[in-house]
Amino acid sequence: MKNKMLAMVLAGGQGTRLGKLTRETAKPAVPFGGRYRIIDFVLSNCANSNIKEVGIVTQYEPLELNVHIGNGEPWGLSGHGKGATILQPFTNSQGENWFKGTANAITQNVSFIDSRDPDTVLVLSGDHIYKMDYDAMLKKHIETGADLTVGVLPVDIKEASRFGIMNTDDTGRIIEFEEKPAEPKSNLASMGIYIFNWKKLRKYLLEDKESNEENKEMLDFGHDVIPAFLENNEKIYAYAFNGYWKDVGTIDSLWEANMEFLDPNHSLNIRDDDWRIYSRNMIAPPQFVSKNGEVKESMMADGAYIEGKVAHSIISQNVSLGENSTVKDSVIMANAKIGKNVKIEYAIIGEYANIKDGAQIIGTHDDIHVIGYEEEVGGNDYENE
Amino acid sequence: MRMNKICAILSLTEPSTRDMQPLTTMRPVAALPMASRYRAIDFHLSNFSHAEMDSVAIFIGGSGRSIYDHIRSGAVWNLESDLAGGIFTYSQTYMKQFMGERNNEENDFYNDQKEFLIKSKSEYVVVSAGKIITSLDFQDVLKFHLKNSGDITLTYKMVPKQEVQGHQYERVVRLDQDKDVLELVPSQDYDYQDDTVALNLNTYLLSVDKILEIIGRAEKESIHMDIDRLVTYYSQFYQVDAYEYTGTMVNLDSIQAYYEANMSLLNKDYYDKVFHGERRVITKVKNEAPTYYSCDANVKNTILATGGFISGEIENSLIFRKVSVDKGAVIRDSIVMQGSKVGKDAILEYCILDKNVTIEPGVVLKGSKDNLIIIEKNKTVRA
Repeated sequence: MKNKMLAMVLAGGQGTRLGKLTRETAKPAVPFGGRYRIIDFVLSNCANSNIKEVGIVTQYEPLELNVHIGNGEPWGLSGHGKGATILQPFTNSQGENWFKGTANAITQNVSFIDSRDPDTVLVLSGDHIYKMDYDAMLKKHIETGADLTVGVLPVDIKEASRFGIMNTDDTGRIIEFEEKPAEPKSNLASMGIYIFNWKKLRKYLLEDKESNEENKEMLDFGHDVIPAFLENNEKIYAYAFNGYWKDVGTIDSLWEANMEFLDPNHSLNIRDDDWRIYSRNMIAPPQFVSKNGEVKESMMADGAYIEGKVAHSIISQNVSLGENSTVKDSVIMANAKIGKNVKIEYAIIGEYANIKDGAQIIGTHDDIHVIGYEEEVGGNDYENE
Repeated sequence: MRMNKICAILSLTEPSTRDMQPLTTMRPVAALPMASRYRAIDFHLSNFSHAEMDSVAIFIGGSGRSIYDHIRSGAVWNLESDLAGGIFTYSQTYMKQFMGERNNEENDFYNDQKEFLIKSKSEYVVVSAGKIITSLDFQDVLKFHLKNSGDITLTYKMVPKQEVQGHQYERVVRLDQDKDVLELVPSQDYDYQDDTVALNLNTYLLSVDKILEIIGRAEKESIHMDIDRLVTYYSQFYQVDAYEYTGTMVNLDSIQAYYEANMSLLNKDYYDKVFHGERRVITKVKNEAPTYYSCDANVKNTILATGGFISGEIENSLIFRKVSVDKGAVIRDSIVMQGSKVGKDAILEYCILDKNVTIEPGVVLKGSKDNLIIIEKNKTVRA
């Protein structure tokens, strides 16, 4: 059975807790793993799941994200019958339409979705790092005859009270949804990944809007839509995902995810040719480790030029590291320039940062030091001497 | 026709020299992997791109699979086929040539070339072959061509005579005192009196009208040649001016030359010039993971591409994409191409591993500067 599925990626997240790193860019555009941005994982999952059309809903500081996505060509989304469409809030005769929640972001793009005429809509978040086959999830969705299939992640039961928890019957049908329950009955946490039958979802989103009761507006999937589906006895099934999944919501978790990424046996299996992660990168020359350079337990992207020592760190595209400098347990983002005699430990250095000769940036395991994009560190002391 | 617009015809049909075997057994010289993540043809296409050309024709002797796979749409060199421009590839030139010569009659051998030239709507054409790599500035060559009133501008570089003498396919440009071209002399016929000679770079610029005229003569005289050789052959009948090129040049006519050209990139100034300068070399992006260096990795003075997995010791070498080097392995003064695997405790010195070579654990291969060890594509070397 042919089922046309349109993916809608919610990429408007501000990521406030990422501090300097999201001051001028949206969270999905935050660099990761030396040559990726967070949204590359979801877009590559779409490409690898043979999804041809993706709408990407952006809102907060969208410039960098929009440039990155462009026409979707790096993810095979350009061409006849394919497309990556960036959807941003707009004004109309009813006023401004800032997206007020996950479901509201879909409601405001109904005309786009209608124009693509899908059978099912796959709702994704652009904030998460994982590899998942959405096509397998769609097969399951069709098999069960569900109106909605929710991607769920089995979590440690002790952690379960931090998540939206889905309680299922023997057949995997969701019978109850509890947001951050004090005493969780199951350990299946919602991943914010949904496959909806479009006609059904459309009815809920629009009929509700017309009823115009302020307190009943469908703003959020977890808070409003799923409870309404349950109340009306619609068929909701859980689809369990068992791989690596990470929400890099904070500086610590971003650093940690990068450090996990360094593990050659990481379950994300980044070197798997059958499930590649694609990105939009500038062309850069091969990396160069000079005769005094040293690189251990690290990952390094192209264009890097290393004269110092690198240990247990991620070095992104076009980073340069001067003589006698050391980088340890850190993430250096693309185009950062690090001078001579610099010491960096437990830090995240933003794109195009300029770390001048002799500077010391020392964080700790529990307090990761962050240098923002294009930030300059050091130098003044030397000028004043 | 657009004023001063240049297009290019690149002939990848030159015979490969014996000294280049076995690296060119299965691929044209221009498809040779270079500089850890490039192919020789990238240097040509980048020169065309920097000269703002938007039509390039490539003539390939055989099937050209490696060339097609590499250039794809040509978009990275701004040669994507929109409007009138694009990269146009023509394969099986050897077969057409053979057929043309066998029938020895007027035929359609030059139809592809003519059609390309007319459709490109260019006023000038650069005709080149793939073996000699330069960073020629074709806008500057055009300026030179327009200043002189000749029919053909050839390009040459002054090189030590050892780089020409005894080299099978080269031609020396014999110049008079005013640097006017007297003739093109095959290397074996040249009288080497001076220490330096003017090596013909086998790269010409001429008007599209003039090359169509030359093709017309060739058709009448039933001569079937690659377009670069055709210009070389007919140049004796035309007014030829010589443009001196003084930049760096690589003549891919021996493995030694190929090896030295790659090794020279370990000089930081040269590396910066080739890769970070205004006229940097462009290639297509590959979505490989960053290269992983384990706690046992010990890499010095080496250029590496992405997708690698390094646990051994590497010094003075070039490592291509997706190469793995196991713990205890030692690689020195070597070139390791894409997808090759070097096993535990293997030792390689002065080696060139072609693509997808497997070196089993413990294998020791020690060449020398003058006696490089070449391992052919897809081979496994057992201990």
